[in-house]
Amino acid sequence: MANVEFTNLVRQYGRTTALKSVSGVFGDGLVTCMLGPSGCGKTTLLRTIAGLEQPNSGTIRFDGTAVEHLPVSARNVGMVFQAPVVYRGLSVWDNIALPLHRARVGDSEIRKAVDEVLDLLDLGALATSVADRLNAGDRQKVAIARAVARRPRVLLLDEPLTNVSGQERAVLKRALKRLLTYRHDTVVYVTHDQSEAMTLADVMVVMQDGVIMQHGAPRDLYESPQDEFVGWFLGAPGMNFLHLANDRSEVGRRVEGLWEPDLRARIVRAGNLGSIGFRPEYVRVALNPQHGWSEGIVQHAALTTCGQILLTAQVGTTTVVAKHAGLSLLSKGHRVWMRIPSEHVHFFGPDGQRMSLEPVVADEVDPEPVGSRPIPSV
Amino acid sequence: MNNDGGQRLRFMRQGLSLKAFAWILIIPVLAFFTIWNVVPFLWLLGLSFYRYYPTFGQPPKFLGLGNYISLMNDPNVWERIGTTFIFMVSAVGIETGLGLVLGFVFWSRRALWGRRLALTLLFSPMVLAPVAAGTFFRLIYDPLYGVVPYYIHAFFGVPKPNLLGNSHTAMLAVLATDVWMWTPFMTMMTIAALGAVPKAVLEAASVDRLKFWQRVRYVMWPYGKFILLLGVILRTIDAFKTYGLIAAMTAGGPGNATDVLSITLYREGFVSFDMGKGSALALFTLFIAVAFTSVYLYFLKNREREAIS
Repeated sequence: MANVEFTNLVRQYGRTTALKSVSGVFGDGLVTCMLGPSGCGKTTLLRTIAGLEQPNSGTIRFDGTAVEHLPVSARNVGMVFQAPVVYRGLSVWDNIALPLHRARVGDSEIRKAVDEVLDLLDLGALATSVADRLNAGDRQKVAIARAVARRPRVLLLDEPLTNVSGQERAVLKRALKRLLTYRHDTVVYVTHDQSEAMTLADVMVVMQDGVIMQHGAPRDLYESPQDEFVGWFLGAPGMNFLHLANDRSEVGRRVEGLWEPDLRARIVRAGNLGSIGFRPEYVRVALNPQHGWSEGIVQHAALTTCGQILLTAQVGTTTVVAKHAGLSLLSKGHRVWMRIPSEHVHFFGPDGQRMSLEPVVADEVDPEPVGSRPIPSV
Repeated sequence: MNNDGGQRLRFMRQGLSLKAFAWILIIPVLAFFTIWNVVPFLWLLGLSFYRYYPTFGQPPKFLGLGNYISLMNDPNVWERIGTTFIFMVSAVGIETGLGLVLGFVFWSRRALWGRRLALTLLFSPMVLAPVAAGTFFRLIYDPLYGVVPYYIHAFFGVPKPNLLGNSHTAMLAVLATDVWMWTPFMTMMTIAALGAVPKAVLEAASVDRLKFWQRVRYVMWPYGKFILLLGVILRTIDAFKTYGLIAAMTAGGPGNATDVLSITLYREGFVSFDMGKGSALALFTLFIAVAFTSVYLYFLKNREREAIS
């Protein structure tokens, strides 16, 4: 296993720059999941580390040794591709053992290594089956087994569950989790599926437009996004944002009932505030009038697969998305009352970067507004 | 109303059923196929049962299987079949071997300087008519002013050889011309076959550090074999019925050195005007060509089966 460090990596395709001087470290023995929208550069970074792409500039080091000039075959990496790759005509066992023969490993060691991964990935019963006749999920398991069996220094996975559907996908995800937990390999996992990343990652990296926006523990990224984009990208749906383009105090007044009194004072007083963000699941929703809370009218309500209601409500001139359990009677036109606990409100500067607001002294705090402001009819 | 129903209504209004319209579309193809394929085939089959010399002015005489029995008992025919197979196997073997090497080089060295120009020049012999290429090479091999005899003389200090006039070298000279002409085809088929290998599988093989022969065996062959086999079979059928090239270069000579089936067939039919025997020989040649085609169809069927699984 190796510590992977990359510094100022640049990769250009003609006029397009896929990696814009990217630097970072993928820790030894950690599972790092890279997330980001299509075309953000996550697969390019993975392929550059593998040696399948040559960087225009920058360095890559495995445990301090520079590898950027080495061909892919000299880097000793394992890679799993989006499409399940198996060698046609070979059995599952032979598929996994093939790269081991190249590594000049003894027969008994090959048997031991293959049997171990077959066991970890529940492939034992299929060992003698012809690999290319298996379903997509099992073929991807074979590809994963082949990649890990020879103990590469880094295991790179490029959206390995994308081409696997339905139940097979859930089975493969469980098997992958078991394998990664057991092996403690250095793993870099590219995905666009947040639930996959949350399930598997020790460290999560969010990329956008060829740049790493934030990296850290999954919970930290989710709860404390350092950038507006990270807040918007993580979560289903992502954060609500109230942008303060012209009048910073406007939001404080416009939907003042959303904020708790101390926060309202901080918002009105704040300088250089670009936007306010809060996650839908932290919005408190009441069906009866609550003193001081903002009143909203439901525009849309739908049951999610998690048994919650995802609702969109018009609060003043602002649209708020909220997620809440036990409100199955809600539908369009219903009145609801909303508030966001202060600890779950995030502030971002005009450049989209996270910022903190100055605390306020007690006499600056306005009392609770009386009732809610009138709401335009829908 | 769906489109099909709409069409039917329109045809019915014009007093024409959909079935009749389908027949109208098929008839030209059927007519063409019947006139140019079925009628000549039946004519050929019929002639093969007769003794018929159009130049003698006598009516055809029915022989039954006489022409076929005569062919089977003619040692010259078996010799021609042998010559044809030697030419076919040698030509296809060399062309496939060279095509594989050249194809692999052009496929694997995308950044090779002058690659496009080289490919264009390489493929140019294929566009020539075989008779033109044959005539061109007859001049190149000419013992008086040909380039090849000149260089043989210059390098080895031997008298300028008459390559096409010597029964030991004539077949080699014809083979070399066929290889010059058709190796590009096998190069093209190799490039196409290698292009059929998915990029991810090739990359997986590099990451897995497979040896070259392992890549050939487990990566390139499984994906490329159908295209490559198609090339080999098309070349085999074509080499089996080669006529223009040999007719222009040696006309089957010297002696019988390059006398392949197609040359014999022409001689029987249009020099000796033995239409019956010529027809029987033509049908025999057709039978062998159909056998080669069946091999290809068998592989194609396997491919479909693999694709489904």
